[in-house]
Amino acid sequence: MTGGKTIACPSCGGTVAVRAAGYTVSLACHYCGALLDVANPDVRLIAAYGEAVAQLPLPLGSRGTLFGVEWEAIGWQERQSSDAVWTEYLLFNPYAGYRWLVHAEGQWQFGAMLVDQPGRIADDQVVWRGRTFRLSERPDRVVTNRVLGEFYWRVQAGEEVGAAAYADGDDTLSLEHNADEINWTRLIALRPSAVRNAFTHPLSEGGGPGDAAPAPYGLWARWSDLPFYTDDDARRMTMIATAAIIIVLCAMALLGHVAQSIDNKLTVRVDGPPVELTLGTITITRPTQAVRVQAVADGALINDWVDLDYALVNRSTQQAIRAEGTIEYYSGRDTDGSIWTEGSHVATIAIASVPRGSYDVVAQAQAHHWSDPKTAAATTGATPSGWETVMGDTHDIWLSAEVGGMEWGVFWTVLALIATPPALLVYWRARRGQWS
Amino acid sequence: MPEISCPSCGGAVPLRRAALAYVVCPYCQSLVLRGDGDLRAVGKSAVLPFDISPIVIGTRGTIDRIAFEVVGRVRWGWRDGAWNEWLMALADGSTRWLGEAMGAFMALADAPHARHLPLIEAFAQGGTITPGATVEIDGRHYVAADVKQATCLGGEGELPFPTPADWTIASVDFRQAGGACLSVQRDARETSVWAGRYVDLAELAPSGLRRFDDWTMPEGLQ
Repeated sequence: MTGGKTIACPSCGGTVAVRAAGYTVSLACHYCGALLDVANPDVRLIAAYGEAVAQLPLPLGSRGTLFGVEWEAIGWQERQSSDAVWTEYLLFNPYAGYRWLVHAEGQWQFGAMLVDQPGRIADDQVVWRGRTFRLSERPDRVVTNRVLGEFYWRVQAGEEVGAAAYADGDDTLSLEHNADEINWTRLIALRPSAVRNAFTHPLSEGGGPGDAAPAPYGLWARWSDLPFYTDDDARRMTMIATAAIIIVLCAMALLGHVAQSIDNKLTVRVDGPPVELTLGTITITRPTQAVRVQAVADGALINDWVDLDYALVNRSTQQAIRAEGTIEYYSGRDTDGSIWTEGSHVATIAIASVPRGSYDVVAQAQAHHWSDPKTAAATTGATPSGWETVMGDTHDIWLSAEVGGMEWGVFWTVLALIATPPALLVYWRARRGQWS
Repeated sequence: MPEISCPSCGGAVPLRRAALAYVVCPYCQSLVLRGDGDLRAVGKSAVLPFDISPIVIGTRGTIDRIAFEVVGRVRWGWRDGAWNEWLMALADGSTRWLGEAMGAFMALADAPHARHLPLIEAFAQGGTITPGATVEIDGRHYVAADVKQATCLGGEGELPFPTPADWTIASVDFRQAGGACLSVQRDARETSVWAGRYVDLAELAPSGLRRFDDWTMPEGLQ
């Protein structure tokens, strides 16, 4: 005699195997997702699911050996508390009864109903087989969101129980109760690889021949092994984020195309008076647009710095938008004789969101000399060495201003905004994972 | 094995236990009352649909070092599920029940001494027991863990009572820290208390279990 029998789904006509005949009272058709009542000889339709039957990491009907017993995954439910969503598989063996395989945030737990009742010894402590378990998940309501496959009671979406959990190390005692029942389940943590190796079917969706494939994350061969994984949301989050970043880049490239550019050159004397130069006129044609100003100094600028003050003067209102920049480049010799340098001959600033209008771009530059105190001390009274700027030298500064261009600051801000919610989620799940 | 002829269909009904008053004909589901030498068909029992239990009528084993044979079964249905109660005829002439629910087995013997505990007395008078309620027997605390209203779905084999389809009971299962358990059942006429413990199949050293083509019988079972 085979363990199961078959029925015809009254919703779609598909042939559905009943694996735990007699015990199973509700069964979801794996073709159309309709929830069927098989307790009666006439199979009844309880609820037709509008949504497609979910793709499960562990397909119903797959078998695996855990703790020396062969189990068949016959049922699956998605459950939710006030702060978490997880899934549970119902495992069945006709000689050994039922067990649970709980999949939460990438972690697997093997659950067995306790027939020896834990005893309460304090508000937040229970004792079971001589061991003390402390409250690890505060009392909460747990709701079943979705159901597939077979269960030994008529489980339905929306079914609600009270729940709490107590832990001692990796061992968890889970308490669930409703008006009729109090049930304790012992949950033992399993490594994802233990679950994967136990069941013949691949655990990840479309993962391919997993064992032969190189592990893309080193430790984690599959998405489902990632510590923060819940169903396929890690992959979904990554795909959404990648798409958003590509869209932002495209938009920036489109909007940031350089509309106009002006350039000019000024000469400034070191430790001399400030020099002012009007580069030219730019016109902003969009409601707002970025203006980028770049200053490049000649190569002789060493141990000098140039303060740059910019003003975009609106030609009609004479109001100015101001910005500052500095070119500085230093070099010296360490006590061990090695030469160090610091700074750059280029300084770029960006003024974001300049309103529509015509602007004169005015730059004012003032150059200063800096003496390395060490060098100065070591060469007191000596002639400045050849690579040091001689006092009274001048420097040429090439200035250019352009409207538009890629606003990388905006890009990084957008990237941070996109990354923040999943990062917080990962952090929060990791912390919960440690504690539960 | 002795047999009787079904008074309704004439089929040969095997008798495993002479002391039980009722037997269900496996062919026509007639409920046969065995009086003093005469047999009467007193009604029909519902046909039990196939279920995947490893226990069948005729399964043998030992409980507390006493050999037993499963001779009958009653099946109960509650709003959202069902369970089995298998009748074990022991070699010492007594009977016990093997309750099978949620994939777990309870071996239970009649416990009339527990019938007069205040909580159970109040339940017998029509009161309710809510999950979490406790009773103490011989220094052990039992916690009410499962409270159900159930209807008899039918019976098979030999039984001490008939199994009419309109038979409804209130059933409460208690659990205890050491795996002991208590089952209290109340119908329209009386309240009975059964005490025992949870057992797994292997410790019953069973033989004659149901075989399934697509499942391997675990070691230690036959």
